[in-house]
Amino acid sequence: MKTSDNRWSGKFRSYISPERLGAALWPVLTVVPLLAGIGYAVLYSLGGVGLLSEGWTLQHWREALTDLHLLKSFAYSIYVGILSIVTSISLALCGTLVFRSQVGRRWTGMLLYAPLAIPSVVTAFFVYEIFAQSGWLSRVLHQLGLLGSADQFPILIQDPWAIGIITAHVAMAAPFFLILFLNTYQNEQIDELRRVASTLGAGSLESDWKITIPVLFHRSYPTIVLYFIFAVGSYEIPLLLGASSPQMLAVNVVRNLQRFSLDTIPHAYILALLYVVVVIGILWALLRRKKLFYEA
Amino acid sequence: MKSRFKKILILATAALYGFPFLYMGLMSFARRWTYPSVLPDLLTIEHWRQLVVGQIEISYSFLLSVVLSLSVAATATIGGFITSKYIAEHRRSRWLLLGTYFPFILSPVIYAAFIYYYFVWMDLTGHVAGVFIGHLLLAYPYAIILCTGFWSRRSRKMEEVARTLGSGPWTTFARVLIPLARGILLMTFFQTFLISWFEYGLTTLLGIGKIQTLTLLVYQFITEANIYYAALSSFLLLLPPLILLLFQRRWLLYKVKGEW
Repeated sequence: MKTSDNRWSGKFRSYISPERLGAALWPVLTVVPLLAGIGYAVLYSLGGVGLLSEGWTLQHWREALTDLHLLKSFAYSIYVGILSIVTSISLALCGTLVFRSQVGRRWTGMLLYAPLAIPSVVTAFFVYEIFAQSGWLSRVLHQLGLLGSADQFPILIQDPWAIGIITAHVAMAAPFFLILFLNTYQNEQIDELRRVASTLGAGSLESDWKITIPVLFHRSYPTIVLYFIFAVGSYEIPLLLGASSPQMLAVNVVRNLQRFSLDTIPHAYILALLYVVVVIGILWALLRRKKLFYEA
Repeated sequence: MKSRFKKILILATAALYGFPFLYMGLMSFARRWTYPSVLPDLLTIEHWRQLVVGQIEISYSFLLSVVLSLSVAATATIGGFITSKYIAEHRRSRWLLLGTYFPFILSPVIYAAFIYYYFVWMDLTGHVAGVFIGHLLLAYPYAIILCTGFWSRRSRKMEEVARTLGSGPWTTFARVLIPLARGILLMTFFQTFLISWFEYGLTTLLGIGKIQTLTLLVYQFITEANIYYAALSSFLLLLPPLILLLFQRRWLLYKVKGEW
């Protein structure tokens, strides 16, 4: 019995090699669920499937593409993504110029990595606690005599300009980009390049402007773009810190999907599909520039 | 003057970075914190005591999150490592890698919205198994991306040596390649653990509110205006990455990417 078991397991092991197992697992856990999900969303948005389906139609697409609320949600997410990334990168660049001489010290390493330990849901909660009208910042200003009551503090949370959402994104992204830039600074030996520039007569500011910043951007470009996709599609931060209107894309998709009325489901899928089209477009552009796998 | 300004800036950054940890820690001990007090009016160890003796749901959610994240991390790391070999050696490896990137880059909650129907159809929503599979769909592609970097000429040579000595593919994997890839496997394990540990949107949708991981509990406490318990849950969420920070901080760098 034991011998036949061994024989069977031997045959099994020789037939199912690691490569074959990998080849079988990859589609099952990556492309198949995704394509099946996107396919279902396309069919649902065209009226081909779904509980309320009345046959194939372009009606849902027409409605969605003329629905100002939906388009606003899309534009709002792009606005939040761009502003979050631009602010984060600007802060990280300033930080890089300050911290570049401190790299390698143990305490600096610990300090710089600390914000990466904070998940988005906690970041959102923290920003809420600090910047709400009765939050910690308002309390400090009150104690300093600069504020009479909580309602004199500006509305920074659940505001239409997404200040709270952008603050939370910046709190997460700026430390990440700071580490990325500092690592790139070291790996690209930018100090050496700056020394060469200074022997050629360039000043400190000029070599930062013409060497440091372009090199950092060039090397970090794919990560910056991918982080933008992350910010546009973020969920937990706008869920807590966002206003009820306009809503960010992911929040809007989930709300439309979970409403009591089933009529909004096609709109949820259309919004999600528009997001996928943007992501595919960005990936395609990165791939054309052969940049995608650079930072992997 | 310039170096003094730099020192002030560094100290300010240190204070800014350390503040969330201090604030959450302090708030988890607060009993009353009314406006306009800058510090809590009353402190208590009651919340922590309740957590330790298992009187509150946080203890259950903490255990559930630990078990779920460890299982996801172990499965994703093993599966990702095996698959990464297949992808790295494939002649169309670039395209396969692109296919791997896509589910990983997509917003997890939008990915969950796409696959939600199939999970309902298979009766996986509201079950730990469904959430586990959902997390795996996010963690596995990331594990592949991390492990693909391991396969090089060196690993191929080692494999060839083992094969010429009569070792089969699985033995080579277990006795040669896995020990050789120990560093990258450990990093992948911790990274995928963090993906699962921090996951919120997909868990909300696929768990339909029945699977209360720690991240969901934080949000639930906030909406119930139970901020002291929200702070306690938040502090617990910070523990594993803080431990990583103390022992192997470089592994944290991939965390942010891991949330894509």
